[in-house]
Amino acid sequence: MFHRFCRRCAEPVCGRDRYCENCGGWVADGLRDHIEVDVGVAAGVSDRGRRHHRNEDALALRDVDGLRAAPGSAARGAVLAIVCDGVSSSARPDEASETAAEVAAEALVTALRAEGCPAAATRAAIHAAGSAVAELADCGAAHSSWAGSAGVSRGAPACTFVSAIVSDNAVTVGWVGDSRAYWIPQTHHSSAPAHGGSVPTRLTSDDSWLAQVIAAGTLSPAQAAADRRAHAITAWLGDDAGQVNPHVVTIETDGPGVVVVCTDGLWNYLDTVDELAAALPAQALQAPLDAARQLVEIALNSGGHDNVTVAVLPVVSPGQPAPARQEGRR
Amino acid sequence: MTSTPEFRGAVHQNLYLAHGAREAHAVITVDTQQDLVTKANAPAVGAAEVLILDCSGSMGFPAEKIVKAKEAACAAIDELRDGVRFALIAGSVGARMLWPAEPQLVLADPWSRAEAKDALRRLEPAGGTTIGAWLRLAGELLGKHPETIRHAILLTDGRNEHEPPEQLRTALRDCEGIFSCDCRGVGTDWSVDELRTISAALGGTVDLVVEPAGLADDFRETMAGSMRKAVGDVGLRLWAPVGATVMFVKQTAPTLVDLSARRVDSGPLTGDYPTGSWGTESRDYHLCVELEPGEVGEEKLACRVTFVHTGADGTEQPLRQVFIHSSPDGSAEEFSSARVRAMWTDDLAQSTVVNDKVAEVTGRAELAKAVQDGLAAHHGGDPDLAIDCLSRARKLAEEVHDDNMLARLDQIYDPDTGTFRLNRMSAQQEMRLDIESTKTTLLGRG
Repeated sequence: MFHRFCRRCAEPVCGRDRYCENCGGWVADGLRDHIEVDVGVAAGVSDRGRRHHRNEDALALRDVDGLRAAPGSAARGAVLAIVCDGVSSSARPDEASETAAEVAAEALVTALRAEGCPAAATRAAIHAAGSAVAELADCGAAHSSWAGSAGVSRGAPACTFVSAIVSDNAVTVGWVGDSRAYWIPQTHHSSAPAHGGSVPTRLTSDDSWLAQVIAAGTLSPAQAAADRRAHAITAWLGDDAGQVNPHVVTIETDGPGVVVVCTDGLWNYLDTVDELAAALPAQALQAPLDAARQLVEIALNSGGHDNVTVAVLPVVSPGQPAPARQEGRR
Repeated sequence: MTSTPEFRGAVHQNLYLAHGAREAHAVITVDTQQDLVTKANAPAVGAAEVLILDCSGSMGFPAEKIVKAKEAACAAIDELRDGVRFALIAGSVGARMLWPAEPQLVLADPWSRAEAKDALRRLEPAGGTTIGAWLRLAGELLGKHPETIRHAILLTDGRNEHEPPEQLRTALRDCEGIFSCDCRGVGTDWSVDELRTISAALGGTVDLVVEPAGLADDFRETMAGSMRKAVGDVGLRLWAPVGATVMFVKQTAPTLVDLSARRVDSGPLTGDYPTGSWGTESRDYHLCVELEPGEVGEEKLACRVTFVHTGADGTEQPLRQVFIHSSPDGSAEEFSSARVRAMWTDDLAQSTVVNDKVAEVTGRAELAKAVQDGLAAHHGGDPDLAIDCLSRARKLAEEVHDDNMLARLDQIYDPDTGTFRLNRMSAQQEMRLDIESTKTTLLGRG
């Protein structure tokens, strides 16, 4: 779990109003500027970047150790990460992303403990997060508990969503929007020849205008990328999102590696899976927090034009990963 | 249906402080919601009432005083709803049970009300005035019923002359929090200061009833007001950050009461200030907190205020409350606590603005002080100072639009010479001025 900490007192900042319970300092925005979450078996970093005035990304990680005891469950333990990117043209995008991440994290933990089916849990969690973000629209600025983000009324609060559940032998990802998850097997660092499914793989496909036109073949990737609509997303969580159709993918992993979950603040600079795999530190499996920090650093050093959030989840069991199996509607 | 009223508050402040400034001021206005209180009126909360009647010898001169006091007490008894516990205390040198004979409260019903009124009629004035002893007996009776809203009405016509002042002080200390007390003075031989000290310590009102004939109406109204109380033992809880000093917490309306000295710590950074019982009403509080100055651009929470209700068993009971915070851009937010913020700026245009409401209560406090200083100077034989103070009071009354006070000052003001005719001020006018100086009319609210 992460806490917000007051920079002055190093005391946790509790509650809804985001003033330090000790010194009264206003810590809401500043604390989200740079967040590090370390649950030991996985870690994540979220940073405001160099150009934006606040961090509208959100990050949640949970170590679901209780799952180890779940009878009949194929998994002997799980760790999960959720990354959400607030849509900056919407109202209170920072609240949207944080709400989605926290609601989904709790929903996933509960569902995994109860049933242990990661794909079903992911779908349920995305719907729960979607409802929670949609409800933010009803509150309006007048009921916002967040003084720092109240004010102008724009579109309903909205955000992207990507989750990853990692157990000893499988990875389940779910997403809506253009935040991504990658599987980077450990073998790509070794000198041994790559075989079968042991190549770095992007597990998600963007819900974006760019991805749509490339898939449809109407524009070349270069033409499409140059279009001003390239970054527009075609699906999100929020009151004006319409029917939410979560994508859910499960892969079986047969060897060690890491799952990287991130927002476009990272992949804007490392667009292809090979670029990402090359940038990933070799020690990511043993030191996920350092790996997440270094990836965020790359984005910042490349300009930090957007908020950037990266979670790194190691898979430690031996063996080889199986090919991806797509579930859910495309 | 819930039985406790909803507290709806608003925070009025200029959150900007000049670089290096330390004091954050705010006014918190609180209204309790009407319909909920009305619905809660009848059955929900128990009430306990004690009438304390001065029956010292002076109450017989003129005889009309004691006659009207008895009538007033009868009117108050008639206002008691069935099921309220009550008793009558006769005060002279010492206090005695007028009704019932035993030192206990009795449930109001048609029979008990008739018997109490019977006992009143047999009352004969004799002896002196020992208010401390009277309050002590009331405290004994009411202290046995912590589950109720506990209230007393004290009527006197004289000064506390027949017991050492220390006895009244210790009695007040012991009775604080046990019950609230509305004090009424009849005639002009009593001390406004004395009754104000009592009513302030016991969270009640003080008023002057010049003509004995007006007593019954006043008592009826006061008792009816007490019967409308829907929640007792409410405290204003204030959190302030480490390093901050609470300079004062004052109720500024409906009457001016400085609560600062009555703080009881309720946590490492929180303290509770007693506000007594609440019905459908409006009150204002002026808070001042001194902070460690922050850097320019830095924001701090200066304090956080909530209202807490303590039940009969000493545990805290939830109170429904919501506070509206308006921003300079016109947007408003609702919170479950009132938050006073401080943001340091080097923009003088921002930091020098005084919030209207803060200016108003500050002006009101100055007005009260000017009137009281003026009257004190008058008594101290310094007419020049008295006139200076009252002139200032008149100007302040104009500024804060206190037409009531302005009219009272104008009764003794000579517009031709621009001065005050102190020698033509009657005892009544003087006491009235004194009493009214700490009352605030809430315009457009409540």
